[in-house]
Amino acid sequence: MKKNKHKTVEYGRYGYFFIAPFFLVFAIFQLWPLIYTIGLAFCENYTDTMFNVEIGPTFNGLANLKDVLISKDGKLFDTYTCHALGNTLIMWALNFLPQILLALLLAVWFTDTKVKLSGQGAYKVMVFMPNIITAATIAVLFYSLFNYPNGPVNQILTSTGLLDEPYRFFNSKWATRGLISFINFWMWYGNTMIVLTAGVLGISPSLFEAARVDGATSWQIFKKVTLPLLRPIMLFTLVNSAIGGLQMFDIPKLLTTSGYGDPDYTTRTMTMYIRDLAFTGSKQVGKASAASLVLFVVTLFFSLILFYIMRDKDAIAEKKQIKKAQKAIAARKGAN
Amino acid sequence: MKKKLLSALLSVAMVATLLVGCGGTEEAPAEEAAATTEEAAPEEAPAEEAAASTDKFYIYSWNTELQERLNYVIEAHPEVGERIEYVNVGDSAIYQEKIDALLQTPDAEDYPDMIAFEAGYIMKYTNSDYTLPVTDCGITDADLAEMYPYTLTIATDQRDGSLKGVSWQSCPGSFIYRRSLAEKYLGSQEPEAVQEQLKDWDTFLETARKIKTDSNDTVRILSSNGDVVNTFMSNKTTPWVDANGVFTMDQSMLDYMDVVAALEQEDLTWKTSQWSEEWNAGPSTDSVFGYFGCTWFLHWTIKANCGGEAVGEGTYGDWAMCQGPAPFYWGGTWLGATAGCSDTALAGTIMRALCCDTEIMTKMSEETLDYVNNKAAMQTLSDAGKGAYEFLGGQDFIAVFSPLAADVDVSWMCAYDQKVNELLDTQVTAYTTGEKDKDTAVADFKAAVAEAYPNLTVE
Amino acid sequence: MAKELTMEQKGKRAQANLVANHIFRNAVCVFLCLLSIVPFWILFVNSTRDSVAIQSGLSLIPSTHFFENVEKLLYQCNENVPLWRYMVNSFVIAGFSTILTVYFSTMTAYGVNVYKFKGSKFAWAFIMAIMMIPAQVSSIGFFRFMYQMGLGNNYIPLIIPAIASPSTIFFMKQYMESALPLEIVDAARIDGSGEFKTFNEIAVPLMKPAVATQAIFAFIASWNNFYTPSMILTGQDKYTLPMFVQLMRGERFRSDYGIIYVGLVITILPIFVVYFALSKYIIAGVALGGVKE
Repeated sequence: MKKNKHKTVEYGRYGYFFIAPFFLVFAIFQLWPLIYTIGLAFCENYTDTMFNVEIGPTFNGLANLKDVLISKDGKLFDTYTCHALGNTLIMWALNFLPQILLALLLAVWFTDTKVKLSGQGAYKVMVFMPNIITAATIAVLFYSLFNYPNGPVNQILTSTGLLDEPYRFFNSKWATRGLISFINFWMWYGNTMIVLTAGVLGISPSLFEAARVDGATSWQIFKKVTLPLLRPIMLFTLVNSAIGGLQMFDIPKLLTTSGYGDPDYTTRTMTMYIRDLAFTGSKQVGKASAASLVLFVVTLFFSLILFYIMRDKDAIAEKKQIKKAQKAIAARKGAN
Repeated sequence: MKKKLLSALLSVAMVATLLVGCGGTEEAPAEEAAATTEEAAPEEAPAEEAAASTDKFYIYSWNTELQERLNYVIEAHPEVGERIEYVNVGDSAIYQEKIDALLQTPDAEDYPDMIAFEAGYIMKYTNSDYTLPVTDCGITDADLAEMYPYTLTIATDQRDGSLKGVSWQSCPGSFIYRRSLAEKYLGSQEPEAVQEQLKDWDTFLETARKIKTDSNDTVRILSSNGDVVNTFMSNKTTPWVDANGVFTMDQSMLDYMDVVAALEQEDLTWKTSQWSEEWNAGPSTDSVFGYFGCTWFLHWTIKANCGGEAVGEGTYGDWAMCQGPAPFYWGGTWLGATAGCSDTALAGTIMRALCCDTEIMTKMSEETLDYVNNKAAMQTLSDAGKGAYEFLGGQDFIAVFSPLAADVDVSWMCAYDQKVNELLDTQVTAYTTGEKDKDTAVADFKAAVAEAYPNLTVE
Repeated sequence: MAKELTMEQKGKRAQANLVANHIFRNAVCVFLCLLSIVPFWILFVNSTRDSVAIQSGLSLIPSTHFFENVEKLLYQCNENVPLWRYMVNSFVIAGFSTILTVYFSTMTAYGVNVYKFKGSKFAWAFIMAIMMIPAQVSSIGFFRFMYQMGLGNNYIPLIIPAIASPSTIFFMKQYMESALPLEIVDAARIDGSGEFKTFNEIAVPLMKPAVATQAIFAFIASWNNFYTPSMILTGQDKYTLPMFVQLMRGERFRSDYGIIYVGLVITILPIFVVYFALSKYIIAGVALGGVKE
C-alpha cells in the first residue's frame, strides 16, 4: 500500500515533463509578447519620421490610453481607435445575426424526422466549403468579382438591366461593410450549422417524442424544446464568433483598394488599425500597444462570458435548486 | 565489396578536390591537377580567405527593376555578381515596413548592405543615421558631374548636406495622348497644338468636356481621377512638412480637390483606379484620350499595354507627348548604402557603375529605353538620333524629356510625402463622391495627418 | 359525411404540405450550395479565358486559355520568385506546425490527464483560461521580441509557437478521457515500459482518430494564415501562398485579368483537393469540436 502510493508520487513528477514544452513555448512566444505589449502600452514609443529616429520607449503612464479613448477635443470614444472597434463590431454583428438564424434553420431542417432531406451530406460538404478556403484568396476573389466597372457582378447587374451603369461598391461605406459581412457570413454559416446540427442531435429523442405525444406543433417543439436546450451551444457559438470577429483582418485588409479600410476608414478593423499604427507613418508602437490593450480587454470580456456559460452545469443546477428551495421556504414563511 | 566502397570514396574525394580547385583562384595551375590529395590540403587556406570577402552582399528592393539594372554592373564587374544577394520584398506598399524592421538588426545575417528608395519616402532615410554618405563609398564629385541636379538634391541629408544616395534614372513627366483622337476631337495631333488646349487646368477641363461631348461619351480625357495626382503634388509651393515639423496644406491642394471633383461629378474620366485591370486596358482601346506619364511610364505602362508591338498593331505608333497643364515629376529609384554596410568599396563599385559610368549608362538607356540620370549619355543618344520613337509616331522622346529633366524642381518634397498623399487621397475620394463637403474633408485630412504623425504641428 | 371528407382532405393536404415542404427545403439547400460554388466557378471559368473576353462579359462556360494564362503567370512570377516556391514555403510551415501542434498537444493533454501532480489542476485551468486569447492582441510585442532575438524573416516564429495550442489540447484531453483508459498506462508500467515510451507507443496510436482530425484543422489553419507571416517575413523567396495572394493585389499582376484569376485558382487548388478528399472527417471534426460541453 505504502509502496504503491510512493510509486504514484514518483510517476506524478513525469507530468511536469509532459506539460513543460507547452508552458515553455507559451511563455516565450505568447506570454512574454503579451506582457511586452501591455508594457509598451504605457510607454511613449514612436519614430520621428523627419530624421527617422526612434523615440522611447519611455514610461508615460496613461497618455497612450487616454489618446486611444478620448479625442483631442475631449470627446470620449470619438477616436480612430474606437471607430475601428466600432467598425469591427458592426461588421461582426451584420454577419453573425443572419449566420446564426440560417444555421439554426438548416440545423432544424437537417434533423427533422418528418421531412427527411436526402443528400444532406452533400449539402453540408458544399455549404461548409468556403470556410476552409484561404481567406486572403477569397478577399481577392471578391475584390475581382465586385470590381468597377468590369467585374462579373457589375456585368450581371448592367446586362440584366438592374443597373443603368456599373456601381462602385468599394466607394460606398455600407456596400463595402455589407460585402465584408456577407463574406464572413458566407464563410461561417456552414460551420455554425454543423455545430448546431450536432447540438440538436445531442438532445434526447425522447423529449421530442414526449412533446409530439402531447400534441405540440413543430413550431412549439422548436420554441419550447429545441431552442432552450440549444441555448448553451448557441451562446458558445456567439462568443466564439465574437472573439474571432474582433480579430478580423485578412478580408477587410485585402478586399479594399488601398488596404486601409476604404472608403474613409469605415471598414478598418481593430487589427488593421493596430498594424497601421505600428508599421506605417510614425510607427506609433506605444499607441498601437494601447489599442491592443483595448482589444485585449474587449476580448477578455467575451471570454469571461464564455467561461460563465461553460462553468460546471451540475453545480449550476444545484445552486438553482437551492435557490428555489430557499424561495419556497421564504414564500412559506411569508404566507405564515 | 570493401574495395568497391573504397574506390567509390576515392572518386568522391577526387571530384571534391577538383571542385575545390575550381573554386579557388584562376591562377590555380593546370599542372597541379595531378597533385595528390595531401598537396591539395594547403590550397584550402587561400580558398577560405577568399570566402571572407565573398560574404553575401544584401541589396533590398521591392521589384525586379533594380535587379535587371544590376546586370549591367555585373557585366562590367563580374566578381560583383557572385556576392550580390538581391532580396525582392515584392510590393512597394509593404517595402518600408520590412526595411525598417531589418535596419533595426545590424547583426542579422540578412541585414541590408544597400537599399533602394523611392522619391515618396527617400528623405526619411537620407536624413537619418541609417544611411552612409556616398563619399564613404568612394564616390567623388567628379562621379556626380553628369547627374541631373534634382536627383542629388533629393538624396542629400538636410542636416549636414552630405549626399546619401544616387539614382540611375531621371523621371520628368509629360502628358501622353493619342494622336488619332487628338486629330478627331481637338483638330490637330501636333504636340504644340494639343499643348495649347491643355495648357492649364481650366483649359484642361474645358478640353475634357469637349472630348466627352464630341465623342458622344465614347472617349474621356483620362482613365482614372487619380491620374492627375502627381502633377498636382509636383506643383505644391511648399512641402507638406517644413523643417520645423509644421504641417501645412497648400492652396494648390485645394485646387487639386476641385479639379478631381469636376472630373468625378461631370463624368470626365472613366473612374477606374490606377493600376487596375481596366486602367491598364485603357491604352489598347479608343476610349481614353491620354495619361499623365513619365519616362518609365511611357515604355512600361503605355507601350506595354497598347495591344501591339509594332506600328499598326493595337495603338502602337498612335501616341505623342506634350507637357500638359504643368510640368511634373514622378517616381525614380535611388540606391544608398546602409550604416552597417559590410563592404563600402563594393557599394561604391555598384554605385559608380550603375549611376555614374557614362558608357554603361548609355548602353543601358539604349537597350532598356530607361531615361538615365546622365546628361552626357542622353546627349550621346540624342545626337545619334536614338530618341525618335516609332511608338510616338516618330516624336523624339529624349528631346521632350531632356529640358524637363534639367528643370525638375523638388523643393516640395519631404520625408512624409507617401503617407500624407495616401491620407489625402482617402479624403479627396470622400469629398468628390459627395460623402462630405470640402471643409469636412480638409479637416478630416488634417486630423488623419495628426493621428499618423503625433509630433507634427498641424495647422 | 362532411367530416370524413375533411379528414381525407386533411390527410391529403398534410401529404401535399409535406411534399411542398420537401421541395422548398431542397430548393433552399440547392440555392445555398450554388451560392457556395458559383464564385469559385466564375473564378475557374475566368481563369480559362483571356483578358479581353473577361472584360467583355460574364460567361459560365470555360474557355481554352487556361494554360496560356498559367504560362503568363509563371512568367510573371519567374521574374522574381517561382510560384512553386510559395507553395513549398507554405507546405513546409504548415507541415511542421501541424506535426508540432498535434504531437505536443497530445503530450500536454497526456501529462494533465494521466499524472496527478501538484499543480496539475491549476495547469489545466490555466490552459483553459488562455484558450480564448487570440495571438493578434500581442502581435506588437511578438514582432518586436522576434526581431530582438534575430528571428525576423525566419520560419521559427511561424512554426515553434504551434507547440502551444490550447484548443487542440482541450480537444485531445476530451478525446483522451474516453479513448485512453488509465489501466492501459498502468499495464504498460508493469511491463516495464518507460513513461515516454508508453506515451509514444501506446497512447499516441490510441489517439490516432483525434490526431488525424486535429492535424487536418491545424494544417488548414496554418496554410491559410496571413496575419503572422505577413508581419514576420521580409524576403519574397520566403513568402507564403497567402502573401503571394497579397502580391497579386499589387500593380505587377493587375495588367491582365486572366493572370490574377489563374493565380487564385492555383492558390486554392490544393485546399480544394484536400477538402473533397477528407470532407467526411472534416465535417465530423467540426461537429465534434462544437459540442465541447
